[in-house]
Amino acid sequence: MKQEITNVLNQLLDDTKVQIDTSRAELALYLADSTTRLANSVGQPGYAEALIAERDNVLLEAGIAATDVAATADCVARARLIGGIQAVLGLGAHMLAGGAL
Amino acid sequence: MQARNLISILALAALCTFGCLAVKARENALLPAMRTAWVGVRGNIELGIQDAHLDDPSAPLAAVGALDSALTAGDELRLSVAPWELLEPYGQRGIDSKLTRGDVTEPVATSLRERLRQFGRALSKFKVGS
Repeated sequence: MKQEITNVLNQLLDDTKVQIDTSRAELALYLADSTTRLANSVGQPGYAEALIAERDNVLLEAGIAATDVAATADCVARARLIGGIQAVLGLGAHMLAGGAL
Repeated sequence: MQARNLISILALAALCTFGCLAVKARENALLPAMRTAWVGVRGNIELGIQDAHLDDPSAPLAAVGALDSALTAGDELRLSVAPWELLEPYGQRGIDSKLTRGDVTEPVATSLRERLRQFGRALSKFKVGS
């Protein structure tokens, strides 16, 4: 799951030079919601399916955020983009390790 | 006059650049995410179609096949006309079936429903004017 999130966000980093700072907070909130949903499913029938679904949900949210930001045509330096994505990846890694947000 | 032309050209170039950014974001961030999510979304839709016991399931099954090939090809035009309003209820039905059978619990079903909703949001980004 971590590798897939990393791969998709790395593609975003390499191929779209768009402003993501405003989306970072929304992504972090979404990740927190995702973690809460997942925490409610721990140990229950279908947990593995919930885990996959939440991976998909976070990836889709990141893709939607990237598309929305690109549509606003708000371009900034690559370093800011890297910072935003790394923050999201950090939260993702924390979530994967089972930590609360 | 030349200055005006230059401004027009620059404006067009900027529009093209920003338009290309949006296309790039869809191609490189949204489509890979949708392809990943589609596996699970499709499974629930197909289960819903199966459990609906339709006399003729060919229309929704054809829509599933069309969306599948559009995602594989990254065909934005076909994605823009995908009949999600036809498929989404079957996805809900498939999740409900899993819940009824005890394959999943309500919290798990919440995650599955959220994925269905997110996929619909992602698909809507390919609609004209979105």
